[in-house]
Amino acid sequence: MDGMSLTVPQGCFFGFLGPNGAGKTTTIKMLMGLAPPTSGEIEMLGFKMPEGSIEIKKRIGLVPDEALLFDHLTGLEFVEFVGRMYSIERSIAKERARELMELFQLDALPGKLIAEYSKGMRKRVAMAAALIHRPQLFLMDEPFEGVDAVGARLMKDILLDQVRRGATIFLTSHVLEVVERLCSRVAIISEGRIVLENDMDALRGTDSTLEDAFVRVVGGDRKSEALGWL
Amino acid sequence: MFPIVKAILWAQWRSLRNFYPRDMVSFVFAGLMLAMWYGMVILGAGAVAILMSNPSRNELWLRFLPRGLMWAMGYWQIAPLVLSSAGASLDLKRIRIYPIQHSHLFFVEVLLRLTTGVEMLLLVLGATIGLLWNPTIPKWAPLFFLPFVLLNLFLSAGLRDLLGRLLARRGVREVAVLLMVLLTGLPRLVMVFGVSPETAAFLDRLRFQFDYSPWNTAATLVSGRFHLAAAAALLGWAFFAFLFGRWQFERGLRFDTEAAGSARLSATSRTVSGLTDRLFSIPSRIFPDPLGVLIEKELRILVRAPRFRLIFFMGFSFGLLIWLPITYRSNFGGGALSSNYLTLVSAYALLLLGEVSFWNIFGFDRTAVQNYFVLPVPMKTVLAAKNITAFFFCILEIGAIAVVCAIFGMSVSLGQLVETTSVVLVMCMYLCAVGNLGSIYFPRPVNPTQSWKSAAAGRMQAFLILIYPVIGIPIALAFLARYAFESELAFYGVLAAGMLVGVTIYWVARESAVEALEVRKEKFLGTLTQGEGPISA
Repeated sequence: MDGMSLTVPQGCFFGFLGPNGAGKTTTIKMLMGLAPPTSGEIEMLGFKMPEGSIEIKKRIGLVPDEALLFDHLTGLEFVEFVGRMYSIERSIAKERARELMELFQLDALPGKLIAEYSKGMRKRVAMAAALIHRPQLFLMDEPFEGVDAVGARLMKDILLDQVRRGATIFLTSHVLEVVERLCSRVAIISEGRIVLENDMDALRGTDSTLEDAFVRVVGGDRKSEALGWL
Repeated sequence: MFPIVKAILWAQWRSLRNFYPRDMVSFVFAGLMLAMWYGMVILGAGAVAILMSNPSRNELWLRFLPRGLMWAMGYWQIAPLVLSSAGASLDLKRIRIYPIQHSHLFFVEVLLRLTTGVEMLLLVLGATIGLLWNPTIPKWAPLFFLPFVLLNLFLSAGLRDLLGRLLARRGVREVAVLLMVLLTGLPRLVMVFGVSPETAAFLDRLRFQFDYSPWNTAATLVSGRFHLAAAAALLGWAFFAFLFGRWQFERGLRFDTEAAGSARLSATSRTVSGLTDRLFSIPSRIFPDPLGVLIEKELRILVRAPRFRLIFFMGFSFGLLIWLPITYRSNFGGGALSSNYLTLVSAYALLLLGEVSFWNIFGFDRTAVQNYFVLPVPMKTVLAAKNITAFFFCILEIGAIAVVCAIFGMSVSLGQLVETTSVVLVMCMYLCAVGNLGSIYFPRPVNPTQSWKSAAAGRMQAFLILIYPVIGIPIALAFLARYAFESELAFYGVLAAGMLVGVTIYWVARESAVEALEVRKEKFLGTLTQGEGPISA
């Protein structure tokens, strides 16, 4: 990351885009305190990092790029585990975990270990675990990757509901159509720097798609004709 | 075809090379070890060449050649299996997506077997050179090493596929590895108890029936004694090995490990509710969350990890196998070993459990280790949860050892149980203190389904050689106090003092571990989130 300055308004569905290797996952890691910045400040939900990291974590729901799942727990056990880690009383955590598993249609095989889950199922469990403590802020790294259409639709509906109740969502995705449809504000990162930050409405007003804007600012308009043999 | 074969062999070489550490110190260390190993093999091959070139020593090497070839064959078949389970061998199933003819794949597989049995090739080469120099041996004789080598290559290819498929099933894999480990203890039992005359006679008959074994026939032919029957037998063995290898290789290509795995797991799908769930939730009734839920999670994960189960079973099977003969022998002389056998076996079991309970406590978590940084829980609580779980399994191990001892007809008194538990608890305290630091300084991702591979980092293992004797000091002092003062009070007094020191060290070490983790967080996470190689088996 290099001289990055980013403000995400509360209650916003924020899309964070960038080409591969641009620094999206690193940004999320820094926000979670997994990779401390060499300089600069991070403030979230009124708390500064790293002093307020425990308070911040209590209010965050994370759906990571590489799901942080314990392979040898069942989905239900994992969601309950996460709930209890957020100090939710055991019986309530158990009940919420069961309901979330049902909501995400993962309740058909309760004895199935996460190690046996498909990629889409792992994302669903991660999403269910991120919801169990009703966080104020969601950090989501490619949450729809590998999820089928029904699952993706369900996840989108839930996320929009969360925004309506006042939660903030910070989402990275390579599927620009999804970002265009869901997000109210976007930022594009390239080589560790923010190269564009704007409201979706303002971007739409420029008569170009998000994809056009993205390709323009990250300089990705290389033509394949340059390779004569191809 | 050859560019593709070259590319595959290159990939095999790279995967073998990547199997070894990349940082300079570890690389040099591993390089030295390799140089020493292959240096020894080359020296051995040279010695074989010199011995076999000397006509005056013909009688000597002729006597040992069949046995030597038998051991060579055994090594040739086992080495690739160990390499494959350690993830350093190329899986040809993954090569099928590339434009290589199906019929060429077996040829490639046989070539790959060459790279995993280099030691035996060097020794055979040494023997060949020796025979060629020996004026009393006809020049055609060493040619019969060729069918022997081919036989081994074909058999190795077939066995690897056969065992690969068998070991894909969880239960079979664990039993097989346990049997292999127990087999290594067999020579010790034979040495202590000896072999009965009936068994010796049976083995002799067996040897006679194996006159036409690959090693006997090869030994006969390469020493220049041509017998048509022996030649036909050796070529027949090679031909059958080819058929077997090809058959198993084809079956292996068609075998879907993932499907077998999921079928296997579905068949043994666990019931979440019921008795097991109640057992797992006991810690949550004793400890408050998040400590309670963390211990519960550890219990669930460890019990379901084949690797942990295997080591736990080894604690009271292999440990007893090692110590029982000594104890029996000591019983006859009324030695001190027999009165302390429960403590001895338990302390030994603790060393085995150290691999999965103390030295690399975040190893099984792998990528999921990030949770401890993402969730609002202090790291010292996580360490405490892992340590309490280790204590629990150590106590459980003592119980299992006591039960097995009782089955073997050895008396286990309440006093012995109390003594053993006290000793183990003191040792556990020190092991946790050192293990917490070691787990943070030398983390290593471990696949919980891999039963056969060291879980602790190489540097940690080297460190352990120094640390175990230090950990043993308070225990040794307690036994010394008992011996000197002939008093149980002195024994338990010294042990209690040792525990007090242990708790203090544990406390300081845990704080240091948490601080070290904060500083080394990125490196720690980076190491534990490393995935398995794209071409490793």
